Amino acid sequence: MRASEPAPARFLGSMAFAMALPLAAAAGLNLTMDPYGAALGRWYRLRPLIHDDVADRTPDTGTAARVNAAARSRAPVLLLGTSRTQEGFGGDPSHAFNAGQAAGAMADLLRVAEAAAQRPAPPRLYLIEAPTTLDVPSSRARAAAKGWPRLDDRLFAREASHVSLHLLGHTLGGGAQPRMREDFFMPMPLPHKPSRVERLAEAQIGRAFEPGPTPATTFLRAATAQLKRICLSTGARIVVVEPPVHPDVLGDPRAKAVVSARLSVLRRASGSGRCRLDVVDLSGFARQRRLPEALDPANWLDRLHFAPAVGAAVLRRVLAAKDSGGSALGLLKRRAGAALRPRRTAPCPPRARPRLHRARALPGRAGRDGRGRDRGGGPGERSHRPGRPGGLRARGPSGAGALGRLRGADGRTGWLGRSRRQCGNRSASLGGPLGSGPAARGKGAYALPAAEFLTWIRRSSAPGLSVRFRPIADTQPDH
Amino acid sequence: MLTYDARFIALFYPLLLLLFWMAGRRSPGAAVSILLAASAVFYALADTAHAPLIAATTILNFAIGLALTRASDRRAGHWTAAGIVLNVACLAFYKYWSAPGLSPGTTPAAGVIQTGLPLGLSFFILKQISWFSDIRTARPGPLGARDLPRFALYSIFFPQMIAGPVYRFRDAAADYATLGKKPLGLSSLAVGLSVFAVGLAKKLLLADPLGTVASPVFDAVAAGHDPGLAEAWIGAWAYSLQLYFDFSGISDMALGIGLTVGLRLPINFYSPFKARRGSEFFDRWHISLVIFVRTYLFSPILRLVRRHASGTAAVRTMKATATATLVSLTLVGWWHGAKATFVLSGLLAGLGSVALQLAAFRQASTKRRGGARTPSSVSRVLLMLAVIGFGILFRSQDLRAAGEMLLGLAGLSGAAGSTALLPALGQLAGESAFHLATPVPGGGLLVMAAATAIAFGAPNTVQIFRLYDHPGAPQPEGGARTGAHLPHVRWALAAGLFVALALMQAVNGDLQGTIYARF
Repeated sequence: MRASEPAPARFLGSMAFAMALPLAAAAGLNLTMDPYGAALGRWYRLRPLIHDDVADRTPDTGTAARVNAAARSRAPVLLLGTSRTQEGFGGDPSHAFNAGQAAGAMADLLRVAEAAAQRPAPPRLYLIEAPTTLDVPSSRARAAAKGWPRLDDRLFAREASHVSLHLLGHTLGGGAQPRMREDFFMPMPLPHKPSRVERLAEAQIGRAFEPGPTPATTFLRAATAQLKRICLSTGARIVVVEPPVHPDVLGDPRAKAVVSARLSVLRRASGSGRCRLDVVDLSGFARQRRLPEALDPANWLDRLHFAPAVGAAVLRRVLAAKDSGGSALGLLKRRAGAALRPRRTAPCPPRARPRLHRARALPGRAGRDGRGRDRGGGPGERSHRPGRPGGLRARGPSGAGALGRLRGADGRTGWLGRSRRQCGNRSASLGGPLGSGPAARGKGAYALPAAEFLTWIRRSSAPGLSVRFRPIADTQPDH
Repeated sequence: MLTYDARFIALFYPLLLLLFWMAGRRSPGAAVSILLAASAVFYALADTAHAPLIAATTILNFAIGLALTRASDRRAGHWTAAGIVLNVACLAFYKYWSAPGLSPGTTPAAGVIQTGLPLGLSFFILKQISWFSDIRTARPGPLGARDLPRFALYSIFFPQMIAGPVYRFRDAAADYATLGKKPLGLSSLAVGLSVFAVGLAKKLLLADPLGTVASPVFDAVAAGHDPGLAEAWIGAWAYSLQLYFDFSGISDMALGIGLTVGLRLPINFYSPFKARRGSEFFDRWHISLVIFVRTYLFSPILRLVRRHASGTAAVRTMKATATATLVSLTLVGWWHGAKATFVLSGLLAGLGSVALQLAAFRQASTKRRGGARTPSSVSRVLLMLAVIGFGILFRSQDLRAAGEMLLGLAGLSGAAGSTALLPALGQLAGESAFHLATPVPGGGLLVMAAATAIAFGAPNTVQIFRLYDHPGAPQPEGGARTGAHLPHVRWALAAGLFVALALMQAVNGDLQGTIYARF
């Protein structure tokens, strides 16, 4: 050692100190703020929000968060897709859980779908944006493979510290709840993009419509089988939508070719039988299926992401579309496993419209019978108990019913749903006077404010399937 | 697991050091065994499928080397040729025939021979070629040719298996021969850890964020996007810096790990962006490969051509130099991979170097006649343009994409103008400057600015720690002393901070991979 040099032991000690100090500080901060719920999630939990400031910044870009949130959600509709779904559908988490994920791959979507299917009350409709990416990127695969978030992620990961600092700022600033991502993390696309976007959009086109890798068909076949299993076990409808394309792109033959190829692959992989996937092409390349809203450039955030106005139109079109069996793709309510059995599906008279009226006791019509067995009809009926007054009933054609929970003036809640008797009876029922509160929710009830639900149904139903509701004097939905 | 993986930083390396230094005090002779076992475990963890191949090749090469040392001169030549051909064939099989487009370690097909490029095979094979050449020259010199563990350790020493540096056997032999025979001081450990920390910071805190700037642009161009002027320059410059910091970071990590266990690995980089002309750049960039090529390729070709060429001595030398340069650099380009962009870059580098040699000859004669030399600033700008151009060739998916990027640099591809740059700069505080399909993050642009300043202005690892006694290092500047040097204690604080930040980045899980491990 030369005289001018520091002692090696002192040098090493200083180095160890300088290394340990930031690590300890980060661990302390992250343990305190607990951004990923390492301890109790005392400040923050991953939430079922469309733009979750924490979830989207995680190494798996929010797949785990969406899986958790979808498993906890009670929404009857599950929207799965990429940032186009994330941005384009908006959505109230209680009505339609938007699990759109920026750059989400089919593998990510399947994980979320599988988690949602395990719920006591699984979604009735899976609306899946046609995937442009099947395999997850390697970075995300690594995160998934190592079982993110592990303890080291929670304590030391750069993103954990980043989010913890933001949470600390919010907490010290007086707001215990963090704001949405766009407030402080990632600037969201502006309604009107500057011209620079136009050039970059070319790259977007190339990426968005890039054909899948060689084993795409194989992958899709496996994915289809998985979705089919979900359909068989829950009776849910699964719809794959090729989302609208920006009007400027409609003239691009490359985009058209790739969309056609993708649709072709999807249709080939969609399977057959009752639980086949319904592939709906709303890209706009087929003139007759163009959505007017999607043709207005003002309804686009950029040339890849449409605004919620287009998303609402997509939803309306999907709900109005017919599936392979000729049934409407509405919020069909089928009991778990019902799809396995043949059902009488009498054609509905075109004039039939659902009517809402007070439902008196509906013993044994749907839901659980007196011995607590599930007699079918859907989650609403499951918790029906005979002999309790105060329910509501809607009447309408097959497929026009909807699910939802209404609360009567007496404080009790009821289920809006369609009877399993189909059009022979055409009674879409509100599943009777039900229990309310945590017990009912524990049985899989959808806790929806009734008025919001009815508004949503009206807004999203197709004209031919619109639901009319008559006011009922003694049982008003709660506002 | 690679050397910048969180598991390596937090577990593997500390445990190895603990074991090595504890064992070193009791039985220094165990050093080779410990390092060999660690290297084997490291490779098995990093690329399990190809570990048997590397082990078998190592043993086979040792056997050939042993036979070579015992053979007559003529037979030794045959053994040397056989060994080299065998190894080059192995490299060609995996690199150009088996799975030229695959990343190392990927094994798309199972079988007796695992396909996919084995991790670090290119660097491993270069060391084997060096072994055959040097053992023949020095035979039966004291190179430890009969010591299988030391040869195996030389072949698979784990920090070098990722991306070098290429260690000629003639340089390595003495160090490996004395490994475990002389005690190591704490000073060596301190310097080694500091160098490792600097390399880690280069890789994880500079190169990886630079990748988030370069990759979106190159990926978009590969997908058919016509890059604008600003996009092309940002993407190309970010990649040039990424390549430098990634590769030099990995090299520094290897250097540091070597020092902590008593091995002086070769210097690979010496501030190449500070070079004033092309020839100087080659003395500063991937120095160990340049030395290897000069020793085992350039010089033999030079001698051969000069012997058989016609003309005066000066003309023959000129012809020989040009031929040797062109062939060597073309082969170096080909060594990087089977892609047309690699081969073209090698060929262009060769042609450019020949042109520079001719220019230097002409300049020398002009100078003799009192003519003016090319200003240093002009040659530096031209050199940087060449670096950016070669970076584009290396990074681009194919020749079309490379052409688009080069046109983009000239503002001839897509919409001209710098409209994309200004909003990006305006959103530096945000996370995403473009937040589209080419999401160049604002933070990445800041890192790019910092990396540019470091590349042009900061001292390098050799200068800071005075590693002038390592193979490949230049002569000390300003009469500086050689031998590892512990700088001021603030470097210790900086190194500790680098490790902590790098560890947080590594734990984050979004590592970019090593560029040179793909070659």
